[in-house]
Amino acid sequence: MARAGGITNAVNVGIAVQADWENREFISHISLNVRRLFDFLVQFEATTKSKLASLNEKLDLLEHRLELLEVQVGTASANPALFNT
Amino acid sequence: MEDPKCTRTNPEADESEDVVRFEKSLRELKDLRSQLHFAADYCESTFLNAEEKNTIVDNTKEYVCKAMVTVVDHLGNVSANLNCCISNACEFSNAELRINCLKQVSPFIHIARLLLCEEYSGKLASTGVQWDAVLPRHSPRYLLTSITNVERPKEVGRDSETQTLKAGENREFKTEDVPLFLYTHTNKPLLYKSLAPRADGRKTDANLSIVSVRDGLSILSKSFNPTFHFQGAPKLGRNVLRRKSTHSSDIISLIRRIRWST
Repeated sequence: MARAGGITNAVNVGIAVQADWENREFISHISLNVRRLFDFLVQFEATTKSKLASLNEKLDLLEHRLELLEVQVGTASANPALFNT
Repeated sequence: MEDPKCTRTNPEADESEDVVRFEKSLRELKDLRSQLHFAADYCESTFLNAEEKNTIVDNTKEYVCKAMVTVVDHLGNVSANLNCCISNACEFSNAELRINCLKQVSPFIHIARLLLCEEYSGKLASTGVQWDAVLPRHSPRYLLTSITNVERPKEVGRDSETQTLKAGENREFKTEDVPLFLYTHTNKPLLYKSLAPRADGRKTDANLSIVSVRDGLSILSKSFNPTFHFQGAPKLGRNVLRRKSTHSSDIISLIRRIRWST
């Protein structure tokens, strides 16, 4: 009787240990996926920053060209005598 | 396969649609955060109050897996929409093309620029002759004497040879202006000739020239270069040795005469 109780206890302990290992495995899987997600977010942030910087440069260049064109048009329109000769 | 971005008929509407989609996905992601917090609190309270905890744990695991998948899906959606919004640079390229066209094809600006160039070139031509730092250099032997009196602009920084030539040509040598220093310029190889007795017994000093030391006089600076003559002179062979012997005999006779005279 005592022997059967000892075996049952051992089986229960084994089942509990197995469940604990399963839980640990699940948690490790989840933490690994969360880390991958974090890495993806960091990489995405860097890529987005570089793209936004390049876009900012393009916009600055376009802005400068537009200002230059505005000045040229203003100079040409301010001297109408140049077109009469 | 054609790129759907390039075949867009109305890019502004598509761009606004992308922006709306991005905002919607971002709002869903923010809502998901609050939902996950609420679900975590619910699972915790249920686990503490329930008697069969294994079932609660299994349900929580399933929910965590689904939530993880949902978060990844939402993040992917948000990032894709943002990437689409950023890399949709057709508008910028179109604006750049338009600006380039305005810059190159604009006729008014082009005409104004041409006229301004003509006016500026006319102003430059009307200013007359200007001083040019790079004047043609001529050797003084090819210059006529008549053009020496022509007034030239002041040359600064020319080579020292032309300056000394000008000083030698334009300035007349006046004895009043001679400084206190006198320099006896003797041509040492011709020393024996200058002091050689003439037929009438007097010593000549024809080659003994007295030259004042002045700044810019090139007479003193130009020294006799015997190597130049040696390069151009033909080889004399034995005559050279014979002439050397005559030179030494002349010098010896000269020394003897000086001793006799003293």
